[in-house]
Amino acid sequence: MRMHDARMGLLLGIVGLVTGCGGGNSNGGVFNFGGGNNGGTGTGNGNGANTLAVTVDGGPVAAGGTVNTLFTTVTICAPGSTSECQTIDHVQVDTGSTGFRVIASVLGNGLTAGELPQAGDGNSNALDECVQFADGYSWGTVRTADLIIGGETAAAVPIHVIGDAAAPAVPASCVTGPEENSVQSFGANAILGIGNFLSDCGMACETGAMAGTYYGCDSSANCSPVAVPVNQQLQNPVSLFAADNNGVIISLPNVTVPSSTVSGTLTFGIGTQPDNTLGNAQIYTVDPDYGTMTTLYGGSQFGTSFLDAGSSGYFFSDAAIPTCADQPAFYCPPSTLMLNATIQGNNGATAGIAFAADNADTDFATNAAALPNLAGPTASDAADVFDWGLPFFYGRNVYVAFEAGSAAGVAGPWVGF
Amino acid sequence: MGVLIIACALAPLEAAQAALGASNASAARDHEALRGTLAVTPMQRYEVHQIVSASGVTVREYATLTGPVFAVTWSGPHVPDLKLLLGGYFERYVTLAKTHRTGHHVLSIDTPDLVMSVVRFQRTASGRAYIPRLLPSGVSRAELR
Repeated sequence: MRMHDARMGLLLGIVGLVTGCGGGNSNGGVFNFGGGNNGGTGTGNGNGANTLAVTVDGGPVAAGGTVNTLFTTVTICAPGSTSECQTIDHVQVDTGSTGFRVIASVLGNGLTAGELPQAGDGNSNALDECVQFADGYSWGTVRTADLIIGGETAAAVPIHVIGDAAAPAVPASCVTGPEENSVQSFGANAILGIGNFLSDCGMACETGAMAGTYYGCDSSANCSPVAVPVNQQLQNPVSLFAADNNGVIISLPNVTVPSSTVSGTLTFGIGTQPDNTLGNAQIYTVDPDYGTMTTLYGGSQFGTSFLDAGSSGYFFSDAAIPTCADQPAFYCPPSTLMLNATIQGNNGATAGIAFAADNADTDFATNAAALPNLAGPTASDAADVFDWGLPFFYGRNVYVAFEAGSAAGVAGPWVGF
Repeated sequence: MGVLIIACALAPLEAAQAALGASNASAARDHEALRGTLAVTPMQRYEVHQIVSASGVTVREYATLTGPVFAVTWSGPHVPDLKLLLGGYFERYVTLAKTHRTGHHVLSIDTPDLVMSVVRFQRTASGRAYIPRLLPSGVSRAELR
């Protein structure tokens, strides 16, 4: 295994305390759903060319029941083809990663993996990828596809085909946790990563080969980490649309009790159409290298803080809240706790957030897919990480503006709500 | 407290052994395997072996002077070699991590023999793992940054 110099900075920056503009969580934008944290009475219906219906439900049957996981539907086509296509349901919508990844076993119903050309590295070897999430790794090929997402198309996009039989055996340096190459282990048929960044790895993987990311695999199935130019890495598909390509808005209705399904809208572009204006939302800029900001909670500063549609709950450390005896990844207070925190962007903008933490055992006993007050610890007590997962998105319009561009007159990357 | 900077050897060490739960000498082996620079900070009850890899990942191994590595933390742009850092506890982590109920970006394990949290969000990777029974008395979990 070799890890060459990528010369990335360290995750040590602590944002100075600045009292910023506004705050509160009133929003009043055009996509507001009645009764939510944002107020407002408008509705998003997902019918426009730049909108797409999104749903929280129990997930694909093979996944065995997901919670607080946001899904949509995407059509994959062979590049330039209108016949070699397959529509994939239960594609997870994730603002915590970049790139489109599909589980290979889902294909074969209109489109096979082999109909998508496999990418190569600079040495005429096949290009394969390892992705390391917190809960496991996924390994597969990098292939080129057209993605039809709502009324918009991203052409010739590098995508990750996870568990593709054409990929050699997983390299040892990729294996940093459990394997997630199946729908059952991954929890979705595919994932649509539409976070702040335009590529999944960025300059770190262009500057040098890095274990655990991209690999060149030769005809003898020998795989070695390989450097990949930024524009050949997995791309944020929305950024490749012809229009409405500077960011996204996730709009979900307010959810007050455990619910079996929640329906909302994913809107493409910010400030590019009448239906995606900023409204009264505030902008919170995020770290340009890591996509993080700051949360103040319980007298502590959490410098690695983020809004993440791909996390199922609020995750933060508070030693005063008991964890569940049977599943210590979640909190189990005797009764629902009403909590407060302050989100602070790198631009100094702040927002006071009221939220709640349920007894997770009680939540899970409902067998509901949408659990609005699900919360859990980051196990080590270190006051650093504050993850505002999908419950934060209920009742809000959450804006994600991409790097290297601007939206609503403010340079990305930023988030807004 | 003083900080010792130990020059780094760039050749990866084939026989690099596990860190967590192993002797504190393993930190010196890990810094070579991670191709980084090593700084040792003596604390009152333990030493912190900090390795900054060439790819920008900071790894800290916490070890008593005579006993084993009782904690390891990391942060940076990607996940370091957890098989190396967790050693004999890696398979335990893999077994405990087989759930996606918290999503792909945070993972929390809290068992009597292993406490671990992992965060992987956009281009951030960080994590901490420690063995409760090996924590020296008087050392708080919050010290393990």
